[in-house]
Amino acid sequence: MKKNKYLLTAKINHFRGSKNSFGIFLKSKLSDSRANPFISNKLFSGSSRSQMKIMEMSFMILALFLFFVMVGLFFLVSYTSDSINQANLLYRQGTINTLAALSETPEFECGEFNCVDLDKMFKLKEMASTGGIYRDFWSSISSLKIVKVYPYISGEQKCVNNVNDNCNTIIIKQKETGVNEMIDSTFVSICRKEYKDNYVYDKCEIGRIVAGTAEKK
Amino acid sequence: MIKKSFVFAFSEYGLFSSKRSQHEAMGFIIIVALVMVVGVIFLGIKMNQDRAVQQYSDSNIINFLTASSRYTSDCFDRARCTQGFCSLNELKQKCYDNNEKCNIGTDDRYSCDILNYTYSDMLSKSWRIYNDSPVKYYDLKVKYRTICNDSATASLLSLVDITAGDSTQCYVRKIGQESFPYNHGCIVSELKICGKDAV
Repeated sequence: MKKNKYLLTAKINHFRGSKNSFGIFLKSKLSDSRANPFISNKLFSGSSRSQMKIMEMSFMILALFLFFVMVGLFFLVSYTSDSINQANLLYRQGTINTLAALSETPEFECGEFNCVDLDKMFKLKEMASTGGIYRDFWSSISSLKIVKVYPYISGEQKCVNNVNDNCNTIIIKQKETGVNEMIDSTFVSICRKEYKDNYVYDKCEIGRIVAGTAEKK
Repeated sequence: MIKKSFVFAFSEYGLFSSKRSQHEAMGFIIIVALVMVVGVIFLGIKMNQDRAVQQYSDSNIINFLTASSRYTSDCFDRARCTQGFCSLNELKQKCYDNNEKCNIGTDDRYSCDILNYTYSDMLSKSWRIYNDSPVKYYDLKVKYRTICNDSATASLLSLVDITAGDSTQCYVRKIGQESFPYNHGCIVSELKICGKDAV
């Protein structure tokens, strides 16, 4: 108990001592600066140099920060440009798959995968026209048509009642005037019943199902 | 001018007059140089990647192959073709089976010749190559393989091999494959379409 008391007193004295020595140092410095103008100049000039050094360092940190930000931006731009390409590609593949799925719907299908029944198309064209029950059926699509690709016929030759060797386009939904649209298309089989030499068979050709989506303003 | 200002900056009266600021400036220059070297290496790798042919599997090409395989040719063979007039898939089978002949009007012609002619004409009309067209080159191969989905398996017989255009302009390549089983193996059609940009 007594030992602990001594230890505590020693610690307090040590603290007081150090406090006193700091006070003595400060006093001497101040008195020196008052007495000796050279020391005074040195003290003030030293502080301005420190300010200068701090400014130098802060400018350097700022320069480094800006430099790394620019480098980071460069890497970011180069990576995101790649992602944008990938996203566009995926979007296009999605649209193509949607169009292929459209050919699978009962209104289009011919009984096989990725195949459009042309005989149905003429009836559908009639039903989708003004006054028909299918006029608002494809509300998300601004235009829809089937185009024969092979055998090839140059230009857009509209088919009225049936597909023959002189026409290549069946317009099911006409694009409205003044509407800007994005066009997507994919290949499909276009099949119809054909009669030749007392023989009825399924004649399949190659076509494209072309859909337009109105651009949002 | 740049050299003069650089020398002044490091002179006794310049910006980096003290030893410590000179060290800082040198450190900064070293960091910039290092990052620039890394950037140049990265850019070089990226440019090389861009120049290398990018290859994608494409739904449009697969849809084309499916549609073309169902195309009704002028070849008539009531015994082998379900509709009388043979589809291109049925022609492939006839071509594989010793290049059987088929009837077009009054002529008898080899099925492989009709198959090659029809595909060649079809490709030139469907994937047109001209000056401003996105398609610069295409390559269609129809082969018989013993294992259907293994491209490493050597094909036993090549039925069709059609190429057109300039293969040096192949920067983006899209491929599609379609196959059907036949004679304990598969008849595989593979189409590659090339262009400068997205086809």
